[in-house]
Amino acid sequence: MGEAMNVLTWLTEFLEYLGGSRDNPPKGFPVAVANPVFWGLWWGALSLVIYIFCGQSSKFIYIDF
Amino acid sequence: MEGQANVTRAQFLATVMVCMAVLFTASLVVKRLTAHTVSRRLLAEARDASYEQIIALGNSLMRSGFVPEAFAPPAAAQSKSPAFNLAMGASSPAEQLLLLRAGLRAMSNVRLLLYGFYDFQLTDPVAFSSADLIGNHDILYYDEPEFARRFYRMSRYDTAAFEIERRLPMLAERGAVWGKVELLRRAISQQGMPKEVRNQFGRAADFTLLEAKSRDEFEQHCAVASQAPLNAPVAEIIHEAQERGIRVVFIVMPLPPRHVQLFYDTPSWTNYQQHIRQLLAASDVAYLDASHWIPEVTKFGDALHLSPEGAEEFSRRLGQSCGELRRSCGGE
Repeated sequence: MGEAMNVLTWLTEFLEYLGGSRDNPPKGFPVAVANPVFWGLWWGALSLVIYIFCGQSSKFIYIDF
Repeated sequence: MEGQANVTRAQFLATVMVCMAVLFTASLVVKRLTAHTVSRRLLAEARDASYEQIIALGNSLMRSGFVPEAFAPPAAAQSKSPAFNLAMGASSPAEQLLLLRAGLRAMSNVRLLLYGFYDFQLTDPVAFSSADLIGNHDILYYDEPEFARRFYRMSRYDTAAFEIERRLPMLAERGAVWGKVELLRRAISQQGMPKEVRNQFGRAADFTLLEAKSRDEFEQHCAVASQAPLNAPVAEIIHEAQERGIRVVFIVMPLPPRHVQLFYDTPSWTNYQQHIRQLLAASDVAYLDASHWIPEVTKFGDALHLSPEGAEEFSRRLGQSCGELRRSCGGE
């Protein structure tokens, strides 16, 4: 139970760090903060998620052509 | 803060570069996945056509309502109809002009152009914002974009956005990606709900949104439109066809009894019709009012479009009405 809680706490901190709400990574975070490849891929992935889902307010009357 | 302080400017720029590489790759993927959008398929079909003599042009009403084989049956069992349906759903006269030009580049024997319209399609100015250019409007980004820009209005801000978007497939084809997400969203929202009525273009109920909200609103629109000239792309469609010696017929498309009774059986619409008849006559364009041809509501799939059965009936009757015209144009 204690181990599971530790994992959950670590996961929360990990996600908070990725999301920008925490300045320092949790212990054992595998990627150095200065690794441009990881962070470039992460930013790119976030940009793509925004791109894919930002059209919901558009008028979709014709859609099934 | 310790971690942030360790990031150098070079590392930050490298991160931005990697991010840009991801987006560039995504743009290439989007370009590949959208190589067969509706407008591209239609253009490809038009390019493959060659001997057709009759072109049907318009928006989804013509797309769903015109059956070439019913309008002009093939001469032999193995041959094709001499008519070609070049209409595209969710298109304005600006996109229709581009389709016509593409069709005329491929088909050298065209003698008759049938242009189907409803409501104020001929006189309402064609104007877009950048946000409007999704779905089948994507043709405006890639097929003769500079030429087409002369026939629709945009603000300076939207023009700047348009110029950027048309160079980036990920932005130009964003509607195709968003459309897939929307379909997924609708499929999820349908779980456990009564099945929605759909047709080839989408949710049937959505198309009531394209009608005027009330008779008053429609009549006010009629009053304004009765003073307006033909809009620029419609005038160019006529010009381009007549320049090649093609006879042009404008057809008020069949509409459901509700639309006809609520909007067309009014003095305002009669006045507007008189106005467009005069405009078209001045351009030597024939005019055909088929709005009352299909009185059965069951032969419509939604608030605007004919069902396949209604389309067959309309096309057959249109073929009979245009028979003499086709013969005089050498179409038979």
